[in-house]
Amino acid sequence: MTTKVLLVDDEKEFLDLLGERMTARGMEVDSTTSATDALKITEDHTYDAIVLDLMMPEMDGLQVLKNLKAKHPELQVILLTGHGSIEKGVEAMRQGAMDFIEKPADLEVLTEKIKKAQARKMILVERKVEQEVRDILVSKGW
Amino acid sequence: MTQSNKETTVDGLRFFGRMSAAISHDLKNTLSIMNESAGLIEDLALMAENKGRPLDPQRIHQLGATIKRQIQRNDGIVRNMNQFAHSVDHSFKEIGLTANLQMLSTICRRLTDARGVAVAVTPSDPDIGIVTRPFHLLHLVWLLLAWAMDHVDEGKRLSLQARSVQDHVHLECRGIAGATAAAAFPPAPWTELLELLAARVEMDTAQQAIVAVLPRRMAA
Repeated sequence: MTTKVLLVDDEKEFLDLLGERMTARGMEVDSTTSATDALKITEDHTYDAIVLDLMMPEMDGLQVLKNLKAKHPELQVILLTGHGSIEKGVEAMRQGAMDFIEKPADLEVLTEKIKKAQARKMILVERKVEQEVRDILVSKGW
Repeated sequence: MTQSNKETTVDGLRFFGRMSAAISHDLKNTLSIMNESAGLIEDLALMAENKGRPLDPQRIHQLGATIKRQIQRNDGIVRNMNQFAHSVDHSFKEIGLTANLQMLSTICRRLTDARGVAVAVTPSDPDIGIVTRPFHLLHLVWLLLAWAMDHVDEGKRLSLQARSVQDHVHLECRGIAGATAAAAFPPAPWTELLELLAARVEMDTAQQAIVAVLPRRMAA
């Protein structure tokens, strides 16, 4: 199954290069330089992982993360951080990020984290479906 | 050292740290682009070796050009960082205002962008020289900008410029929303910093500006 990833970073060149490398590794990649667009895109599309820059021009990465998780709790977000310390990364994980990775990122490490995100999302979606089926059975009383 | 001195010193260090962090973010971004460019060159070489996919010379040229562009960008960032770091070298020094406004607005662009505010510097030609405390002046400019961002007009555009007025210099930050900004003026206590620079701040409601009035030549 193809891994679907959304990249969100305000550096267009970075997105293009990383996207090309990830596509060459068999992933299906969408990207945007706008945090607002990222929120809109996730309304209509599903992703196994979202790789999100912590410092975006129009909206702080943590705020984007909060909005994404509020609407789609099953979304797996990996934060890209330019911070030299892990402080912000830990804060991001507390707010629901699956993981964080410091810039410049090692693509092999990032790919590994994306695979974990995909596996975790599958489990969450399966659980959600199970719960929905259970709810239907209980409510209909067949 | 009085309590007020200590607070000004700590605030100054915070300002220095904040600008240094902004610079490090910019450097990390250029490094990331170079890192992905180098990675892609490796990927292309591996695909040529292992899968027989021919190397496209045009693509390699493009990636080389990308790396060169990022090196130039990096050089500009480091030049600004160096200039900013040397602002603490001398208690008093003659500096060019436009050059320093441009340097600071470039360094803090990531922070102003994060607030959705565009900051432009209107250059003075020739540049206006001022004998002052360089680091404290930059700190004051940042405080003006930060305050102006809190009270920016709907257009979310601020402009920084300097004007000579007799033996003083008016450092203006234009683009604030007159009425709401006036209600919040004067800004939080900058007294100690203003004393250090022998400066005062004023509101110019006609120009929608907050203005720092500084002596052209501070006595050592």
